[in-house]
Amino acid sequence: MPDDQPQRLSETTVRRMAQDVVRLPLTEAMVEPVRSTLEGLFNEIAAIKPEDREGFEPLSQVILEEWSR
Amino acid sequence: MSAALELLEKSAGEVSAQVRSRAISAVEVTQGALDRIEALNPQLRAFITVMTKQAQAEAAAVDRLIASGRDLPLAGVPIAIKDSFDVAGVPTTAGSKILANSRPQADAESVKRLRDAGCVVVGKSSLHEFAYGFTSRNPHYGDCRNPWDPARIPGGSSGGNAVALATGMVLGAIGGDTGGSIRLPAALCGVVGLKVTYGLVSRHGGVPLSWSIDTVGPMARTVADAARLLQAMAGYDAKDSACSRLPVPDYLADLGRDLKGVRIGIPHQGFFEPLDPEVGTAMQDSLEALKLAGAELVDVDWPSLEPVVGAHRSVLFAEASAAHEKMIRFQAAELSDDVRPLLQAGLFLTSGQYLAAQQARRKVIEQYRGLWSRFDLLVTPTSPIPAPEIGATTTRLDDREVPLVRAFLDLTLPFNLTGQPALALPCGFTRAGLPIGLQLVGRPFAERLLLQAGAAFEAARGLPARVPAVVRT
Repeated sequence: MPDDQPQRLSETTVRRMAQDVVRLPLTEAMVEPVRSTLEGLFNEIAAIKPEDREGFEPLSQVILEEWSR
Repeated sequence: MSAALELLEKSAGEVSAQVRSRAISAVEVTQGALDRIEALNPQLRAFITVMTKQAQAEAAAVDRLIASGRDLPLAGVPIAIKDSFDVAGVPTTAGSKILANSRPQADAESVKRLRDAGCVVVGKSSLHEFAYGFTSRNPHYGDCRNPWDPARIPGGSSGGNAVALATGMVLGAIGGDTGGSIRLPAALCGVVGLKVTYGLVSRHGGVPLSWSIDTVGPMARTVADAARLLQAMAGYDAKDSACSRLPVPDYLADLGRDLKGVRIGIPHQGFFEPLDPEVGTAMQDSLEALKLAGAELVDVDWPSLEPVVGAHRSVLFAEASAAHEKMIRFQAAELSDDVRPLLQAGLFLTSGQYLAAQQARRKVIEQYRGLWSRFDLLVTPTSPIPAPEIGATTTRLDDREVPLVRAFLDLTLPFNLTGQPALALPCGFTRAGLPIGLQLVGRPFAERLLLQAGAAFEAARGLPARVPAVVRT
Protein backbone atom coordinates (compact mmCIF):
# COMPACT_ATOMS: atom_id res chain seq x y z
CA MET A 1 0.00 0.00 0.00
CA PRO A 2 1.32 3.48 -0.73
CA ASP A 3 2.14 5.53 2.36
CA ASP A 4 1.47 9.23 2.94
CA GLN A 5 5.12 10.29 2.97
CA PRO A 6 5.98 12.82 0.27
CA GLN A 7 7.87 11.16 -2.56
CA ARG A 8 11.51 12.28 -2.98
CA LEU A 9 13.25 11.93 -6.32
CA SER A 10 16.98 12.15 -6.81
CA GLU A 11 18.69 13.49 -9.88
CA THR A 12 20.26 10.04 -10.33
CA THR A 13 16.82 8.44 -10.50
CA VAL A 14 15.65 10.99 -13.05
CA ARG A 15 18.75 10.48 -15.20
CA ARG A 16 18.27 6.71 -15.07
CA MET A 17 14.55 6.88 -15.90
CA ALA A 18 15.22 9.31 -18.74
CA GLN A 19 17.87 7.07 -20.22
CA ASP A 20 16.44 3.59 -19.61
CA VAL A 21 12.67 4.07 -19.59
CA VAL A 22 11.61 7.27 -21.33
CA ARG A 23 14.54 7.35 -23.78
CA LEU A 24 14.64 11.11 -23.43
CA PRO A 25 17.95 12.89 -23.91
CA LEU A 26 18.45 15.33 -21.00
CA THR A 27 21.40 17.70 -20.75
CA GLU A 28 22.83 18.17 -17.24
CA ALA A 29 21.11 21.57 -17.03
CA MET A 30 17.74 19.96 -17.77
CA VAL A 31 17.90 17.32 -15.03
CA GLU A 32 17.11 19.41 -11.93
CA PRO A 33 14.11 21.28 -13.46
CA VAL A 34 12.63 17.94 -14.54
CA ARG A 35 13.38 16.39 -11.15
CA SER A 36 11.67 19.15 -9.18
CA THR A 37 8.69 19.23 -11.57
CA LEU A 38 8.27 15.46 -11.34
CA GLU A 39 8.56 15.42 -7.56
CA GLY A 40 5.76 17.96 -7.21
CA LEU A 41 3.69 16.26 -9.88
CA PHE A 42 3.98 12.77 -8.35
CA ASN A 43 3.02 14.11 -4.94
CA GLU A 44 -0.03 15.93 -6.33
CA ILE A 45 -1.10 12.80 -8.19
CA ALA A 46 -0.57 10.76 -5.01
CA ALA A 47 -3.33 12.86 -3.43
CA ILE A 48 -5.75 10.69 -5.42
CA LYS A 49 -6.50 8.04 -2.81
CA PRO A 50 -8.01 4.64 -3.67
CA GLU A 51 -11.41 5.79 -2.36
CA ASP A 52 -11.29 8.74 -4.77
CA ARG A 53 -11.54 6.40 -7.77
CA GLU A 54 -12.61 2.90 -6.74
CA GLY A 55 -15.76 1.67 -8.45
CA PHE A 56 -15.43 4.01 -11.41
CA GLU A 57 -14.26 3.18 -14.92
CA PRO A 58 -11.79 5.63 -16.41
CA LEU A 59 -13.41 8.43 -18.35
CA SER A 60 -12.68 7.68 -22.00
CA GLN A 61 -14.78 10.35 -23.67
CA VAL A 62 -16.15 13.57 -22.21
CA ILE A 63 -19.89 13.57 -22.91
CA LEU A 64 -21.92 15.98 -20.80
CA GLU A 65 -25.27 16.22 -22.60
CA GLU A 66 -27.05 13.93 -20.15
CA TRP A 67 -26.21 16.08 -17.11
CA SER A 68 -29.28 18.29 -17.14
CA ARG A 69 -31.72 19.75 -14.71
CA MET B 1 -9.37 59.95 -33.43
CA SER B 2 -12.95 61.15 -32.93
CA ALA B 3 -14.73 60.61 -29.66
CA ALA B 4 -17.19 58.37 -31.53
CA LEU B 5 -14.41 55.86 -32.05
CA GLU B 6 -13.13 55.71 -28.48
CA LEU B 7 -13.54 51.98 -28.07
CA LEU B 8 -13.13 52.08 -24.32
CA GLU B 9 -16.45 53.85 -24.01
CA LYS B 10 -18.41 51.47 -26.20
CA SER B 11 -19.54 47.88 -26.22
CA ALA B 12 -19.27 45.51 -29.16
CA GLY B 13 -23.05 45.64 -29.36
CA GLU B 14 -23.07 49.44 -29.66
CA VAL B 15 -20.27 49.53 -32.23
CA SER B 16 -21.83 46.86 -34.44
CA ALA B 17 -25.19 48.66 -34.28
CA GLN B 18 -23.53 51.89 -35.41
CA VAL B 19 -21.66 50.13 -38.20
CA ARG B 20 -24.85 48.39 -39.36
CA SER B 21 -26.70 51.71 -39.40
CA ARG B 22 -23.68 53.26 -41.20
CA ALA B 23 -23.34 55.93 -38.51
CA ILE B 24 -19.67 54.96 -38.45
CA SER B 25 -17.70 52.67 -40.72
CA ALA B 26 -15.89 49.46 -39.90
CA VAL B 27 -12.80 51.07 -41.41
CA GLU B 28 -12.94 53.93 -38.88
CA VAL B 29 -13.47 51.56 -35.96
CA THR B 30 -10.62 49.32 -37.08
CA GLN B 31 -8.28 52.27 -37.47
CA GLY B 32 -9.16 53.36 -33.93
CA ALA B 33 -8.19 49.92 -32.66
CA LEU B 34 -4.97 49.84 -34.67
CA ASP B 35 -3.99 53.32 -33.42
CA ARG B 36 -4.43 52.24 -29.82
CA ILE B 37 -2.43 49.06 -30.45
CA GLU B 38 0.37 51.10 -32.02
CA ALA B 39 0.45 53.38 -28.98
CA LEU B 40 0.30 50.74 -26.24
CA ASN B 41 1.60 47.46 -27.59
CA PRO B 42 5.31 48.30 -27.33
CA GLN B 43 4.88 48.64 -23.55
CA LEU B 44 2.23 46.01 -22.83
CA ARG B 45 3.00 43.34 -25.47
CA ALA B 46 -0.63 42.34 -25.90
CA PHE B 47 0.00 41.20 -29.48
CA ILE B 48 2.60 38.98 -31.10
CA THR B 49 1.39 39.84 -34.61
CA VAL B 50 -0.55 42.98 -35.53
CA MET B 51 -2.44 42.47 -38.79
CA THR B 52 -2.65 46.10 -39.91
CA LYS B 53 -3.15 45.67 -43.66
CA GLN B 54 -5.32 42.57 -43.42
CA ALA B 55 -7.53 44.27 -40.81
CA GLN B 56 -7.96 47.40 -42.93
CA ALA B 57 -8.90 45.28 -45.96
CA GLU B 58 -11.25 43.14 -43.89
CA ALA B 59 -12.96 46.23 -42.46
CA ALA B 60 -13.44 47.67 -45.94
CA ALA B 61 -15.02 44.38 -47.00
CA VAL B 62 -17.40 44.55 -44.01
CA ASP B 63 -18.43 48.08 -45.02
CA ARG B 64 -19.14 46.88 -48.57
CA LEU B 65 -21.28 44.02 -47.30
CA ILE B 66 -23.26 46.37 -45.05
CA ALA B 67 -23.74 48.76 -47.97
CA SER B 68 -25.05 45.85 -50.06
CA GLY B 69 -27.67 45.07 -47.42
CA ARG B 70 -26.08 42.14 -45.58
CA ASP B 71 -27.02 41.82 -41.90
CA LEU B 72 -23.87 41.09 -39.88
CA PRO B 73 -24.60 40.82 -36.13
CA LEU B 74 -21.04 41.77 -35.14
CA ALA B 75 -20.30 44.16 -38.02
CA GLY B 76 -17.00 45.96 -37.60
CA VAL B 77 -16.19 44.65 -34.10
CA PRO B 78 -12.38 44.52 -33.74
CA ILE B 79 -11.20 41.29 -32.15
CA ALA B 80 -7.99 39.63 -31.00
CA ILE B 81 -7.23 35.96 -31.57
CA LYS B 82 -5.06 34.14 -29.07
CA ASP B 83 -2.02 33.08 -31.04
CA SER B 84 -2.76 29.40 -30.58
CA PHE B 85 -5.67 29.55 -33.03
CA ASP B 86 -5.25 29.72 -36.80
CA VAL B 87 -5.90 32.79 -38.90
CA ALA B 88 -5.32 32.05 -42.56
CA GLY B 89 -1.99 33.31 -43.85
CA VAL B 90 -0.69 34.49 -40.46
CA PRO B 91 1.72 32.45 -38.30
CA THR B 92 0.22 30.54 -35.37
CA THR B 93 3.18 30.66 -33.00
CA ALA B 94 1.43 29.39 -29.85
CA GLY B 95 3.93 31.70 -28.18
CA SER B 96 6.82 29.46 -29.26
CA LYS B 97 9.63 30.26 -31.64
CA ILE B 98 9.43 26.66 -32.86
CA LEU B 99 6.20 27.53 -34.70
CA ALA B 100 7.25 31.03 -35.81
CA ASN B 101 7.23 30.05 -39.49
CA SER B 102 3.89 28.22 -39.53
CA ARG B 103 1.48 29.44 -42.21
CA PRO B 104 -2.03 28.03 -41.74
CA GLN B 105 -4.10 27.90 -44.90
CA ALA B 106 -7.48 28.31 -43.22
CA ASP B 107 -9.08 30.00 -40.22
CA ALA B 108 -9.83 28.07 -37.06
CA GLU B 109 -13.56 27.32 -36.99
CA SER B 110 -14.25 29.83 -34.19
CA VAL B 111 -12.34 32.53 -36.08
CA LYS B 112 -14.24 31.78 -39.28
CA ARG B 113 -17.58 32.05 -37.47
CA LEU B 114 -16.73 35.42 -35.92
CA ARG B 115 -15.49 36.73 -39.25
CA ASP B 116 -18.68 35.50 -40.92
CA ALA B 117 -20.59 37.52 -38.29
CA GLY B 118 -18.70 40.68 -39.27
CA CYS B 119 -15.81 40.80 -36.78
CA VAL B 120 -12.49 42.24 -37.93
CA VAL B 121 -9.36 40.41 -36.74
CA VAL B 122 -6.72 42.99 -35.80
CA GLY B 123 -4.04 40.66 -34.48
CA LYS B 124 -2.74 37.51 -32.83
CA SER B 125 -2.48 38.02 -29.09
CA SER B 126 0.24 37.09 -26.62
CA LEU B 127 0.19 33.97 -24.51
CA HIS B 128 2.30 31.77 -22.31
CA GLU B 129 4.28 29.39 -24.56
CA PHE B 130 1.95 26.61 -25.76
CA ALA B 131 -0.65 28.00 -23.34
CA TYR B 132 1.20 26.02 -20.66
CA GLY B 133 1.36 28.59 -17.85
CA PHE B 134 -0.54 31.32 -16.05
CA THR B 135 1.79 34.36 -16.19
CA SER B 136 1.96 35.20 -19.95
CA ARG B 137 5.68 35.79 -19.52
CA ASN B 138 7.33 34.88 -22.79
CA PRO B 139 11.07 34.97 -23.53
CA HIS B 140 10.50 34.59 -27.27
CA TYR B 141 8.05 37.45 -27.89
CA GLY B 142 8.31 39.57 -24.73
CA ASP B 143 6.50 39.53 -21.40
CA CYS B 144 2.86 40.59 -21.58
CA ARG B 145 2.15 43.18 -18.85
CA ASN B 146 -0.88 44.08 -16.75
CA PRO B 147 -2.27 47.48 -17.88
CA TRP B 148 -3.37 48.35 -14.33
CA ASP B 149 0.26 48.07 -13.19
CA PRO B 150 2.80 47.10 -15.83
CA ALA B 151 5.12 45.70 -13.15
CA ARG B 152 2.54 42.93 -12.62
CA ILE B 153 1.45 39.90 -14.66
CA PRO B 154 -1.83 39.99 -16.58
CA GLY B 155 -2.46 36.31 -15.85
CA GLY B 156 -2.50 33.64 -18.49
CA SER B 157 -2.32 31.89 -20.64
CA SER B 158 -4.66 34.17 -22.66
CA GLY B 159 -3.01 37.28 -21.18
CA GLY B 160 -2.78 39.30 -24.40
CA ASN B 161 -6.54 39.14 -24.92
CA ALA B 162 -7.27 40.50 -21.44
CA VAL B 163 -4.77 43.33 -21.84
CA ALA B 164 -6.13 44.28 -25.26
CA LEU B 165 -9.70 44.36 -23.91
CA ALA B 166 -8.86 46.31 -20.76
CA THR B 167 -7.15 49.02 -22.80
CA GLY B 168 -9.70 49.28 -25.61
CA MET B 169 -7.43 47.83 -28.30
CA VAL B 170 -10.27 45.41 -29.15
CA LEU B 171 -13.89 44.76 -28.17
CA GLY B 172 -13.77 40.98 -28.26
CA ALA B 173 -11.37 38.08 -28.29
CA ILE B 174 -11.08 34.32 -28.70
CA GLY B 175 -9.26 32.57 -25.87
CA GLY B 176 -8.61 29.03 -24.74
CA ASP B 177 -9.11 27.59 -21.25
CA THR B 178 -7.64 24.30 -20.01
CA GLY B 179 -7.03 25.20 -16.34
CA GLY B 180 -8.16 28.82 -16.06
CA SER B 181 -6.49 30.44 -19.07
CA ILE B 182 -9.48 32.59 -19.99
CA ARG B 183 -10.81 33.29 -16.49
CA LEU B 184 -7.58 34.11 -14.68
CA PRO B 185 -6.40 36.89 -17.04
CA ALA B 186 -9.98 38.19 -17.18
CA ALA B 187 -9.94 38.48 -13.37
CA LEU B 188 -6.49 40.06 -13.11
CA CYS B 189 -7.20 42.60 -15.87
CA GLY B 190 -10.83 43.44 -15.03
CA VAL B 191 -12.62 42.01 -18.08
CA VAL B 192 -15.11 39.21 -18.78
CA GLY B 193 -14.08 35.69 -19.78
CA LEU B 194 -16.25 32.65 -20.44
CA LYS B 195 -14.89 29.13 -20.18
CA VAL B 196 -17.55 27.19 -22.08
CA THR B 197 -18.85 23.66 -21.61
CA TYR B 198 -16.43 21.13 -23.13
CA GLY B 199 -17.73 20.49 -26.64
CA LEU B 200 -19.84 23.66 -27.06
CA VAL B 201 -17.35 25.53 -29.28
CA SER B 202 -15.21 23.87 -31.94
CA ARG B 203 -11.52 23.48 -31.13
CA HIS B 204 -10.69 22.98 -34.80
CA GLY B 205 -7.68 25.02 -35.88
CA GLY B 206 -6.22 25.36 -32.39
CA VAL B 207 -2.88 24.10 -31.08
CA PRO B 208 -3.85 21.46 -28.51
CA LEU B 209 -2.68 21.42 -24.91
CA SER B 210 -4.95 18.71 -23.47
CA TRP B 211 -7.40 17.05 -25.85
CA SER B 212 -9.91 15.95 -23.22
CA ILE B 213 -9.92 19.30 -21.39
CA ASP B 214 -9.27 22.10 -23.92
CA THR B 215 -12.06 24.61 -24.53
CA VAL B 216 -12.35 27.69 -26.74
CA GLY B 217 -14.34 30.66 -25.52
CA PRO B 218 -15.06 34.39 -25.77
CA MET B 219 -13.52 37.25 -23.83
CA ALA B 220 -15.10 40.70 -23.80
CA ARG B 221 -15.55 43.92 -21.84
CA THR B 222 -19.14 43.12 -20.79
CA VAL B 223 -21.23 40.02 -20.22
CA ALA B 224 -23.60 40.99 -23.03
CA ASP B 225 -20.69 41.22 -25.45
CA ALA B 226 -19.46 37.80 -24.36
CA ALA B 227 -22.97 36.50 -25.10
CA ARG B 228 -22.91 38.08 -28.57
CA LEU B 229 -19.58 36.48 -29.38
CA LEU B 230 -20.67 33.09 -28.03
CA GLN B 231 -23.83 33.23 -30.13
CA ALA B 232 -21.66 33.31 -33.25
CA MET B 233 -19.04 30.82 -32.05
CA ALA B 234 -21.13 28.02 -30.52
CA GLY B 235 -22.54 24.98 -32.22
CA TYR B 236 -21.73 21.70 -33.92
CA ASP B 237 -18.68 21.38 -36.14
CA ALA B 238 -17.95 18.07 -37.85
CA LYS B 239 -14.24 18.91 -37.81
CA ASP B 240 -14.09 18.58 -34.00
CA SER B 241 -14.85 15.09 -32.71
CA ALA B 242 -15.79 16.46 -29.26
CA CYS B 243 -18.34 18.96 -30.56
CA SER B 244 -21.88 18.60 -29.23
CA ARG B 245 -24.89 18.38 -31.56
CA LEU B 246 -27.18 20.10 -29.04
CA PRO B 247 -29.04 23.08 -30.53
CA VAL B 248 -27.62 26.50 -29.66
CA PRO B 249 -30.03 28.59 -27.54
CA ASP B 250 -30.48 32.36 -27.73
CA TYR B 251 -27.83 33.56 -25.29
CA LEU B 252 -29.10 37.14 -25.40
CA ALA B 253 -32.72 36.32 -24.62
CA ASP B 254 -32.46 36.36 -20.83
CA LEU B 255 -30.02 39.24 -20.41
CA GLY B 256 -31.79 41.85 -18.33
CA ARG B 257 -33.83 39.33 -16.34
CA ASP B 258 -33.33 39.25 -12.58
CA LEU B 259 -32.30 36.16 -10.60
CA LYS B 260 -35.57 35.41 -8.79
CA GLY B 261 -35.81 31.64 -8.38
CA VAL B 262 -32.11 31.08 -9.07
CA ARG B 263 -30.24 29.28 -6.28
CA ILE B 264 -26.54 30.09 -6.00
CA GLY B 265 -24.25 27.84 -3.95
CA ILE B 266 -21.40 29.21 -1.83
CA PRO B 267 -18.62 26.64 -1.30
CA HIS B 268 -16.77 28.13 1.66
CA GLN B 269 -14.10 25.45 2.10
CA GLY B 270 -11.34 25.56 -0.46
CA PHE B 271 -12.75 28.48 -2.44
CA PHE B 272 -13.39 31.28 0.09
CA GLU B 273 -10.51 30.60 2.45
CA PRO B 274 -7.84 31.68 2.49
CA LEU B 275 -8.34 34.90 0.53
CA ASP B 276 -6.49 38.19 0.29
CA PRO B 277 -8.50 40.45 2.66
CA GLU B 278 -9.45 42.89 -0.09
CA VAL B 279 -10.63 40.01 -2.27
CA GLY B 280 -12.64 38.75 0.70
CA THR B 281 -14.35 42.14 1.12
CA ALA B 282 -15.14 42.32 -2.59
CA MET B 283 -16.62 38.82 -2.42
CA GLN B 284 -18.89 39.75 0.50
CA ASP B 285 -20.08 42.82 -1.43
CA SER B 286 -20.62 40.60 -4.47
CA LEU B 287 -22.77 38.12 -2.54
CA GLU B 288 -24.92 41.07 -1.43
CA ALA B 289 -25.22 42.16 -5.07
CA LEU B 290 -26.35 38.67 -6.11
CA LYS B 291 -29.02 38.79 -3.37
CA LEU B 292 -30.04 42.23 -4.55
CA ALA B 293 -30.48 40.77 -8.04
CA GLY B 294 -32.94 38.27 -6.59
CA ALA B 295 -30.81 35.15 -6.13
CA GLU B 296 -31.22 32.76 -3.21
CA LEU B 297 -27.80 32.03 -1.67
CA VAL B 298 -27.16 28.51 -0.36
CA ASP B 299 -24.19 27.47 1.80
CA VAL B 300 -22.62 24.28 0.47
CA ASP B 301 -20.17 21.78 1.99
CA TRP B 302 -17.56 21.17 -0.68
CA PRO B 303 -15.43 18.02 -0.99
CA SER B 304 -11.64 18.22 -0.92
CA LEU B 305 -9.98 19.75 -3.94
CA GLU B 306 -6.80 17.66 -3.54
CA PRO B 307 -7.85 14.66 -5.69
CA VAL B 308 -9.32 17.10 -8.22
CA VAL B 309 -6.00 18.91 -8.54
CA GLY B 310 -4.12 15.60 -8.78
CA ALA B 311 -6.41 14.27 -11.48
CA HIS B 312 -6.23 17.49 -13.49
CA ARG B 313 -2.42 17.56 -13.29
CA SER B 314 -2.11 13.94 -14.38
CA VAL B 315 -4.44 14.28 -17.38
CA LEU B 316 -2.97 17.63 -18.44
CA PHE B 317 0.69 16.59 -18.17
CA ALA B 318 0.15 13.28 -19.98
CA GLU B 319 -1.92 14.76 -22.81
CA ALA B 320 0.25 17.88 -23.30
CA SER B 321 3.41 15.80 -23.57
CA ALA B 322 1.77 13.34 -25.96
CA ALA B 323 0.56 16.22 -28.12
CA HIS B 324 4.02 17.82 -28.31
CA GLU B 325 6.27 14.75 -28.01
CA LYS B 326 8.16 15.34 -31.26
CA MET B 327 9.17 18.86 -30.19
CA ILE B 328 10.13 17.65 -26.72
CA ARG B 329 12.43 14.99 -28.15
CA PHE B 330 14.01 16.95 -30.98
CA GLN B 331 13.67 20.70 -30.21
CA ALA B 332 13.76 20.89 -26.41
CA ALA B 333 16.52 23.49 -26.41
CA GLU B 334 14.24 25.93 -28.22
CA LEU B 335 11.51 25.76 -25.55
CA SER B 336 11.39 28.35 -22.74
CA ASP B 337 13.00 27.38 -19.44
CA ASP B 338 9.68 27.21 -17.57
CA VAL B 339 7.68 25.22 -20.15
CA ARG B 340 10.40 22.74 -21.15
CA PRO B 341 10.45 20.80 -17.85
CA LEU B 342 6.64 20.61 -17.79
CA LEU B 343 6.56 19.03 -21.23
CA GLN B 344 9.48 16.72 -20.47
CA ALA B 345 8.03 15.61 -17.13
CA GLY B 346 4.77 14.49 -18.74
CA LEU B 347 6.65 11.80 -20.64
CA PHE B 348 7.56 10.14 -17.33
CA LEU B 349 3.93 9.51 -16.30
CA THR B 350 2.68 5.93 -16.50
CA SER B 351 -0.50 4.71 -18.13
CA GLY B 352 -1.60 3.62 -14.64
CA GLN B 353 -1.34 7.16 -13.32
CA TYR B 354 -3.27 8.52 -16.29
CA LEU B 355 -6.06 5.95 -15.99
CA ALA B 356 -6.32 6.43 -12.22
CA ALA B 357 -6.78 10.14 -12.87
CA GLN B 358 -9.50 9.44 -15.41
CA GLN B 359 -11.24 7.18 -12.86
CA ALA B 360 -11.08 9.96 -10.27
CA ARG B 361 -12.31 12.40 -12.89
CA ARG B 362 -15.44 10.33 -13.52
CA LYS B 363 -16.10 10.22 -9.79
CA VAL B 364 -15.67 14.01 -9.47
CA ILE B 365 -18.16 14.55 -12.31
CA GLU B 366 -20.70 12.30 -10.56
CA GLN B 367 -20.02 14.03 -7.24
CA TYR B 368 -20.46 17.54 -8.68
CA ARG B 369 -23.57 16.46 -10.54
CA GLY B 370 -25.05 15.44 -7.20
CA LEU B 371 -24.01 18.70 -5.55
CA TRP B 372 -25.67 20.69 -8.34
CA SER B 373 -29.07 19.25 -7.37
CA ARG B 374 -29.07 21.74 -4.47
CA PHE B 375 -28.38 24.88 -6.50
CA ASP B 376 -28.29 26.22 -10.05
CA LEU B 377 -25.02 28.13 -10.05
CA LEU B 378 -21.93 28.19 -7.89
CA VAL B 379 -20.17 31.42 -6.94
CA THR B 380 -16.48 31.66 -6.05
CA PRO B 381 -13.66 34.15 -6.38
CA THR B 382 -11.85 33.67 -9.70
CA SER B 383 -8.54 34.27 -7.95
CA PRO B 384 -7.80 34.57 -4.21
CA ILE B 385 -5.32 37.38 -4.87
CA PRO B 386 -4.98 40.33 -7.24
CA ALA B 387 -2.22 40.38 -9.87
CA PRO B 388 1.23 39.66 -8.40
CA GLU B 389 4.45 41.27 -9.56
CA ILE B 390 6.27 39.83 -12.54
CA GLY B 391 8.72 37.20 -11.32
CA ALA B 392 6.80 36.18 -8.18
CA THR B 393 6.35 32.42 -7.76
CA THR B 394 4.55 32.35 -4.41
CA THR B 395 2.08 34.46 -2.45
CA ARG B 396 1.26 34.78 1.25
CA LEU B 397 -2.23 33.74 2.28
CA ASP B 398 -3.13 33.43 5.98
CA ASP B 399 0.57 33.63 6.86
CA ARG B 400 1.36 30.66 4.63
CA GLU B 401 3.59 30.77 1.58
CA VAL B 402 1.49 29.31 -1.27
CA PRO B 403 2.83 28.51 -4.76
CA LEU B 404 1.09 30.74 -7.30
CA VAL B 405 0.19 27.72 -9.41
CA ARG B 406 -1.95 26.45 -6.53
CA ALA B 407 -3.32 29.85 -5.48
CA PHE B 408 -4.47 30.62 -9.00
CA LEU B 409 -5.53 27.36 -10.57
CA ASP B 410 -7.15 25.51 -7.64
CA LEU B 411 -10.24 27.73 -7.97
CA THR B 412 -10.59 27.36 -11.73
CA LEU B 413 -9.31 23.92 -12.77
CA PRO B 414 -12.02 21.82 -11.05
CA PHE B 415 -14.45 22.94 -13.74
CA ASN B 416 -12.02 22.11 -16.52
CA LEU B 417 -11.82 18.59 -15.13
CA THR B 418 -15.61 18.28 -15.09
CA GLY B 419 -16.15 20.17 -18.36
CA GLN B 420 -18.58 22.69 -16.84
CA PRO B 421 -19.02 26.29 -18.00
CA ALA B 422 -17.63 29.09 -15.81
CA LEU B 423 -17.85 32.84 -16.21
CA ALA B 424 -15.24 35.24 -14.80
CA LEU B 425 -16.26 38.87 -14.40
CA PRO B 426 -15.05 41.95 -12.53
CA CYS B 427 -16.40 42.44 -9.01
CA GLY B 428 -14.21 45.15 -7.51
CA PHE B 429 -10.84 46.83 -7.20
CA THR B 430 -8.20 46.87 -4.50
CA ARG B 431 -7.18 50.16 -2.91
CA ALA B 432 -4.13 50.07 -5.18
CA GLY B 433 -6.44 49.91 -8.19
CA LEU B 434 -6.00 46.26 -9.15
CA PRO B 435 -9.06 44.35 -10.46
CA ILE B 436 -10.75 41.55 -8.50
CA GLY B 437 -12.73 38.82 -10.24
CA LEU B 438 -15.81 36.75 -9.47
CA GLN B 439 -16.50 33.28 -10.91
CA LEU B 440 -19.94 31.82 -11.59
CA VAL B 441 -20.15 28.13 -12.53
CA GLY B 442 -23.07 26.31 -14.13
CA ARG B 443 -24.21 22.87 -15.19
CA PRO B 444 -22.96 21.68 -18.59
CA PHE B 445 -24.56 23.67 -21.43
CA ALA B 446 -26.09 26.17 -18.97
CA GLU B 447 -24.31 29.13 -20.57
CA ARG B 448 -27.63 30.94 -21.06
CA LEU B 449 -28.33 31.00 -17.31
CA LEU B 450 -24.70 31.79 -16.57
CA LEU B 451 -24.77 34.83 -18.86
CA GLN B 452 -28.13 35.94 -17.45
CA ALA B 453 -26.66 35.79 -13.94
CA GLY B 454 -23.50 37.59 -15.02
CA ALA B 455 -25.46 40.43 -16.57
CA ALA B 456 -27.74 40.68 -13.53
CA PHE B 457 -24.67 40.79 -11.28
CA GLU B 458 -23.06 43.53 -13.40
CA ALA B 459 -26.22 45.62 -13.08
CA ALA B 460 -26.62 45.03 -9.34
CA ARG B 461 -22.95 45.55 -8.49
CA GLY B 462 -22.80 48.71 -10.60
CA LEU B 463 -19.04 49.10 -10.67
CA PRO B 464 -18.05 52.55 -11.93
CA ALA B 465 -16.21 52.52 -15.26
CA ARG B 466 -12.44 52.70 -14.78
CA VAL B 467 -9.64 53.07 -17.27
CA PRO B 468 -6.05 51.95 -16.71
CA ALA B 469 -3.75 54.94 -16.25
CA VAL B 470 -1.52 53.68 -19.02
CA VAL B 471 -4.31 54.43 -21.52
CA ARG B 472 -4.49 58.09 -20.51
CA THR B 473 -0.74 58.80 -20.65
